[in-house]
Amino acid sequence: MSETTAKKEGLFSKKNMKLISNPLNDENPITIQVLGICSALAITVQVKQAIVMSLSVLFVLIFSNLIISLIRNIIPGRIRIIVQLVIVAALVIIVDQVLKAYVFEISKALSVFVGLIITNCIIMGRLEAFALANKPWPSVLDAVGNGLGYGMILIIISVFRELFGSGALMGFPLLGDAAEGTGLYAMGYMNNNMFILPPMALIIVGIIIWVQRSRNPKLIEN
Amino acid sequence: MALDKNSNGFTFGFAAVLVIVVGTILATLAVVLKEPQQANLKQEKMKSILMATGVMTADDDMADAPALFEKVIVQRLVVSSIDGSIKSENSGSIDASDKNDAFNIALQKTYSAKVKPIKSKFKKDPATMIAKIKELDLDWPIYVADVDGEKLYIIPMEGTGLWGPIWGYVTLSGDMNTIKGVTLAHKGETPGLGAEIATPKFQDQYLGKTIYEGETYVSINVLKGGGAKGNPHAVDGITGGTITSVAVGEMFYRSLDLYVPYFKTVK
Repeated sequence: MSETTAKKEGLFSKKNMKLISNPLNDENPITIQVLGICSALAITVQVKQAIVMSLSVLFVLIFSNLIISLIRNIIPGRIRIIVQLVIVAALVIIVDQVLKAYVFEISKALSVFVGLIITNCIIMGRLEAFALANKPWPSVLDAVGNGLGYGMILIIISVFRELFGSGALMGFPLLGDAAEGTGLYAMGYMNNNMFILPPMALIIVGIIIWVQRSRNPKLIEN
Repeated sequence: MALDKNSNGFTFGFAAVLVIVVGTILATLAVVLKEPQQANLKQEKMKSILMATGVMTADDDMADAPALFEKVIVQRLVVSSIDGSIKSENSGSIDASDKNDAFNIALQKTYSAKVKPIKSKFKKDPATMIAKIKELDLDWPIYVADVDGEKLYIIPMEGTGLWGPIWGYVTLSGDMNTIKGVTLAHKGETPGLGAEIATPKFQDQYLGKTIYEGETYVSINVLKGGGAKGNPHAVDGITGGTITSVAVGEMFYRSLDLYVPYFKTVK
């Protein structure tokens, strides 16, 4: 082995920090790897939902990456997918139950979406691609990076959808009251119902992908 | 001897240990969190009932609900859907072990076990369906509230929306006709569409509507455009949430009809 790997690496070395910054940019799980699209369509109608969902995914991602990385050397190869699934499912149930017991109102708002974190491809994707082959600390950093990269796109989409679909941000009516016709609505402005429906989320994801790739032509596949 | 990671024995052993560890953790968690979770559900039910009377609003802390509930709800009744007679009567603090207490009746269970099969059998014929449900003479809870000296009657409702259960409470004034308040909730209706039934914007439409046309019970329908303007028996449905809207209308009609015999004894 080369000398650089033998030398003890700093916790926040350049290489480690790349694990966080890359998923935010050139290796974004949603726009580059096109994973986790389903939840990006489903829960981006309101910014608040998108934020809580991002935090839940971040939590599950960090701990599943950490646990899998810790036991990576003893997982039998033939059942590794099942093992990953059991651990992810257990973590999701823990999140769901704790939310129900201590922040009941938020858990009500998220309803079924917390349970659906299990099916988020990003989580299984990171376990397979990273945690199974790396030490715990880089795995945690990788999870933080990917969780933030996922959350960032979710929040961008939800800002557009809530602003143009409901005329509000975080539930606060920015453009005036649609029912009473105040603010912008007094001048004949109308909310665009298309933004509330899932297809618009797909279009916004498409636009983000387009903008990102035209700024960085290296990302365009042949 | 080194352990062979890919042998059958190790694979089975690993799977067994994993399942036992994860199972133990989740079971412990469920036991530890059961109490706060059930307390939450109880408080939420009290808050929903109080919200229907207007004593509490959605922004109020649900931890305040139990004390207010005891003060405002003066009677908890279970009534018959055949002759409207009162099967049990409670007031004051709630004993969780008293199965006859209206508050402890799990209406969701009654609905899915007894009402739903009849509903699916007589889909095309609501009148027969409701008659059949009435015949069963199940336990139907109703709450009597005293708000600033005015007697209000709160009726719980259960129904099925597009993706899952919907439920709610409707408050009638002493004339058993005028609606004083409505709360509606759902398990997983589409956000922004069907889920709008849980917003004050939708629920406030019910205020002041009446469920009787003369002497005939008509309930409150959910219609596109709210029917003709000023229709006292209809509210405006949700664009893009048609199935949920129709389900809410059905839930009102069926649930309130079961109490019509009781209304007659009070009026």
